[in-house]
Amino acid sequence: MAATACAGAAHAAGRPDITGMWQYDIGPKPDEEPSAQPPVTPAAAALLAQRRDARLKGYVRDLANMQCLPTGFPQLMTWRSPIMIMQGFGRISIVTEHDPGNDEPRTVYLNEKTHPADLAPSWEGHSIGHWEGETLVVDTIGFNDRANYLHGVPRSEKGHVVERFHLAKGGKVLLDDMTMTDPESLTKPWTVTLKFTRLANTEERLEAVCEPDLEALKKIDPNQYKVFDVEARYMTDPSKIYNLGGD
Amino acid sequence: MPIARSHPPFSRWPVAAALAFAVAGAAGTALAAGPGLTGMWLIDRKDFPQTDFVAAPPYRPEAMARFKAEEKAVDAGKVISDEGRLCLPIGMPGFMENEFALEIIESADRIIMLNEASTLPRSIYLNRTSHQLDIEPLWNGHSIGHWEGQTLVVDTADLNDRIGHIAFGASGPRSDSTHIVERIHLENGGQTLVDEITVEDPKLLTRPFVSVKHFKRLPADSQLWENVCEVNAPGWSERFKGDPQAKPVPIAAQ
Repeated sequence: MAATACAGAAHAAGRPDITGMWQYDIGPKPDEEPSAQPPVTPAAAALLAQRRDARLKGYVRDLANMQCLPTGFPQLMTWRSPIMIMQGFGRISIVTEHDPGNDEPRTVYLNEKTHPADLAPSWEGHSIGHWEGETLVVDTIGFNDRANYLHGVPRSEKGHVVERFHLAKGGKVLLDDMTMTDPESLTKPWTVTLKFTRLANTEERLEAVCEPDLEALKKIDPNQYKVFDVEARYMTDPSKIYNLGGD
Repeated sequence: MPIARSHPPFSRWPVAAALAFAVAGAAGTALAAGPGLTGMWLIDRKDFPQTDFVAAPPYRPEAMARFKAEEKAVDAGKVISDEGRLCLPIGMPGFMENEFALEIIESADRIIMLNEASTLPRSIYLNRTSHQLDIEPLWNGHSIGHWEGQTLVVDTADLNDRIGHIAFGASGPRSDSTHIVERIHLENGGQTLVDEITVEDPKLLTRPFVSVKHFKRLPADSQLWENVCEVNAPGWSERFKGDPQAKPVPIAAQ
């Protein structure tokens, strides 16, 4: 039978198959500071310095982590657990293994030429994609300001990320050339390349559920953190609707 | 023409329909609804009774007592369960029984399901004949599937005892012995998905509990929206105001 439509709208058009389970390559020295410093604005640099000072005094978890809020895009691409890429109907879905935050799936819409005009700010943003030869180009905007880029660089609602996904090493490696632009935290576009190694298709996506740490939250006074912790800022901001009381 | 090597659901559908999908997906033109399970679905309203169950599951007496006690608490105003307050996953079978959009994506070796009500996806492995049981009990369980004709049969085991796994709703009597079998097929030219859910639990039920859920296929350009559950931490300053255990400590002392 010649029915072929499999994950395969992509195959049918001769596109590379980026679906499957992938492991982010954390590199040989993942815990070191990045060798090339991100081109941050003075304001972002000051924020990073405040966080670094706070860490030395014991601020080892942000409040988002205690609440299991999503880590958001692009950070969710870089955790030490596999990501799963699936070809859906007119879309590509990227599903992480959740922890350390309960991340939402990313959806890359392939049939939309432009982003909706009325986007609500979100954790993973709104992604549209198209193929340029063997490269999948993904354009993402529509972020909220509650997550970071890589290395803790703060993400604003004006952020914009363009990714160019392409295969290497006979399909065993997936490269994501990612360019981040953000007038509030970056002085110029910041490009990094994320590398993923293909896992066997028998690899399973495990449940890794982040459970909120209410005991830790109880001990914390958000006023002490609000300068450098976005969730503490939200909690102490009387204009935020959810601080008006009750459930 | 390329040949499908391994995609049972599509290979069972007429060639024309499958090709329509392939062309639409590849060319990025206006989409016709796909013929397989892949797509976005919404439960039929009649299959989502928002108040009480039409019939309570056939609980054993002790489980029924707990079920009734929880119903009473809900009637008294406890409309959000403890698990819901903690933003814990909905788990199975509630994942297939709630009123939020469901997205299904098929591949050769697995089927994944995403639900706007729960960020924890389901994976149904098609390349396994037995469960992986050397892992922690799970919220959605460990699911393996195979096709019997045009019916996808999904077997789910290794469910945890953190929530009730008998019917929708995070609460309910708990056990670590629930086993779920689903028979999923399409009707109405692929526009309706039918999931016959059979829940077995010798510790909680006197007999298997069967419910049938119908889903309508949503337009192909429907989007899966973010729906992040936020723990009651926002507003927590009020929440913990009277709690003697809530004593903020300086950063340096933590």
